[in-house]
Amino acid sequence: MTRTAEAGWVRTPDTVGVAAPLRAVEQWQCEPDGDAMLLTARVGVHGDDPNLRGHFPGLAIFPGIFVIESLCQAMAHAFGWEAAGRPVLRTLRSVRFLAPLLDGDELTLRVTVTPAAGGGWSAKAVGTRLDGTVAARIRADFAAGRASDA
Amino acid sequence: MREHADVRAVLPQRFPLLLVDRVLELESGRRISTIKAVTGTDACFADLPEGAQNQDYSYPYSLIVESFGQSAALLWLDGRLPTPGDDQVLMFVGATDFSFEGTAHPGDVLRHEVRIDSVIADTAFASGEIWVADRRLATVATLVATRRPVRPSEPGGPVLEPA
Repeated sequence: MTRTAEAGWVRTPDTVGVAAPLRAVEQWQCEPDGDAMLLTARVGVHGDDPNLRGHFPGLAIFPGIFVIESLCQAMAHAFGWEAAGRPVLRTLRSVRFLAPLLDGDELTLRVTVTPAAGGGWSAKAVGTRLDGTVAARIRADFAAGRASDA
Repeated sequence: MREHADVRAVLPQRFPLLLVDRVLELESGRRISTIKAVTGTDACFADLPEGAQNQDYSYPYSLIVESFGQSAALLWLDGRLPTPGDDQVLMFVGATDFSFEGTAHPGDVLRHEVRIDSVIADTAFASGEIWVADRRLATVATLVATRRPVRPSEPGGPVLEPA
């Protein structure tokens, strides 16, 4: 299911523009909360997506790693896609996949983003299904700037 | 178990999410070394616009995590083929301190070095490192996978039973 963009939500382009397994954010919004930013992203689970045909054949399950992909894309939407400042994932401090997302469902990822000492951001994300069940929890650190080959 | 046909026989994932090409070494129940070649024709690069810059071709971190997880699954499964009628699938359920030190681009070959640290009931705990040649890309403190039953349900289609 894909919602039409609602007031206050930004609908994303059909393609991501950088290497990505899929468009993992279809709409997003963010608002400041003191020193933090509350970032919310949504993406539908589409069983006809080629990725889901391969995960798994005959049983489309939104791969847990796509929740990580949603977080990375949501951070870039909120803080910028320009390579010089794009949020780059540094550490997945904790990831827990708690419930499956199946064809027809929708992931809503609510992220509290705080600036990290020394630059970058810390993100604490909770992903829920349409029925409100928590599907995933992620704590992650992001750096600002292009991905390093170091 | 070494070649891609062997990998396909053991893992349920298929294109474009079957992300292990070959097993280099397997020490049963202890460690595995696998590779995944990143090429410009990988599906994740298909929608890049003309004129995209080199940094836009960074192989997605999410797929690096998946490739490492599939390598851990190959270690745990140890060449065991799926049993007909077995309704359980091996699921990646969590990780701690998965840290990236760099990224990969088309032409790079990811090498996953995975160790199994413990197995408790149907849940395995693994750790390891990811390399491109002599350049370390990531360290993984803990990756957790478990076997969960998948069964058809009425009327809403298949569901995954809670752990």
